[in-house]
Amino acid sequence: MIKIKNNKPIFIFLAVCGLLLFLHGIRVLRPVENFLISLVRPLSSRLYNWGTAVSHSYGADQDIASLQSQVDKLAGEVALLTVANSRCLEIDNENKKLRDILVFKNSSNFRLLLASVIAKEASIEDSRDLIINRGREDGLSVGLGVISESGEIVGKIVEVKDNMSKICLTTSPNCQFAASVQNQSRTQGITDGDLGLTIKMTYIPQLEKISPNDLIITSGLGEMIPRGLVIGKVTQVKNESNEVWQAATIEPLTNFDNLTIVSVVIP
Amino acid sequence: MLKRIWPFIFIFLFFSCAVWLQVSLIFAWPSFFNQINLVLIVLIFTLFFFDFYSALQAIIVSGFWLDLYSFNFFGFYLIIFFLTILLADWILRSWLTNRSLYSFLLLIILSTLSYNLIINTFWYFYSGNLVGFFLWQVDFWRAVLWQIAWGALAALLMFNLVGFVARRFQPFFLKKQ
Repeated sequence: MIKIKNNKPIFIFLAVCGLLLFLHGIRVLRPVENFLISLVRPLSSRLYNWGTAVSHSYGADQDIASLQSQVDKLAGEVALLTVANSRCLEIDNENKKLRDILVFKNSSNFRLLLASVIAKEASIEDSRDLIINRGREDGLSVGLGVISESGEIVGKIVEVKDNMSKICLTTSPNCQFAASVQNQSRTQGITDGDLGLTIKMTYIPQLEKISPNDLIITSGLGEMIPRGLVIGKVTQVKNESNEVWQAATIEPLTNFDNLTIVSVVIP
Repeated sequence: MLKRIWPFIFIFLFFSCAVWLQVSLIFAWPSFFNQINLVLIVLIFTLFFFDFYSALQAIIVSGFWLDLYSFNFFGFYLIIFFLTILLADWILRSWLTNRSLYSFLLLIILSTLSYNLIINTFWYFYSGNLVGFFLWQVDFWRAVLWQIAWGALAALLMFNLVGFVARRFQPFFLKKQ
């Protein structure tokens, strides 16, 4: 049994804590909490940016040869993408004309809300959920998708406070998305984070053909997340003949350690 | 009047800064560096260098701020830190009777271990994910080891720094009489 010589400080501490919990529970403290958070948000955002800058420079120590090979590889991809982009622009123009002719309404009715990442939350798994400076007061709710500056989906909102929200990243365990492969058959599946590093897409039927470098996008079957947002690229396919389903390992296109500004997709 | 309030103002500002640095700056650093548990280190330092009462005041400030940032139930960090400091205080008064660097190092190590055990136990039951107990996971022990390493380094630095300023601590090597 732990004996405490002078009990008075403990009783005062327990009384103060009890009072704080009670006032929080009956929501009397909420205006104070919101005021304190809004007061500290700019500082938190600045500190987080410094932290990610350190993280980025720490990971940037690569030898010149590997950087050069990456540059060469990317230059090749840029050339291919330029050609593909040009074809897409032509198809887009044609699409617009056809829609005008048929008087089709534009189906993308979502808007974006910019948010800054102000902190990471420690959790039991190594997922490090992000905290952004937007919340219920800005019209956010649980389940909304979050995209990076390049338009790739990076996570979704899992919890909301008045002026803060928590995002689980696509690489976080238990952060699932309804996804499809951008191939001819539009193979459907569910993505889930794997150890905070990569994404796994499971429940892919054995008969479906998927290959490394296939793009994975959101299928739109999730309630609040629109179709067509890029989740990542397939790096490995696990296909065993005695299994009912096959699985794919997906790598996100964005480095999540450098996320400082994100956008919430509001349908 | 100001003389009586001043220590609390100092504790409020100091520990608020520690929490902001922990949550926004340190957690954004890459793996290994983001295992610095700054709030726990300064709490133990307050307990060791000052007294239990000051540590309790510090818990209220740091626990409150961490609960604001956290999406666990309000009071989560208040309870965790209270239990950790309670245990640390008992260790300090029962076993570590002198205020030497050895005592400080041992206190930091034991407190870091107990903090991680307490907080992960809470998370294990609170999250509802009762598969894979944290004690059997390598990641847990690796994180604890890194936190202990950083805590020990911080203890060495702080002890020597304060040793220049105050005479509250015994020298590292006890002199023969």
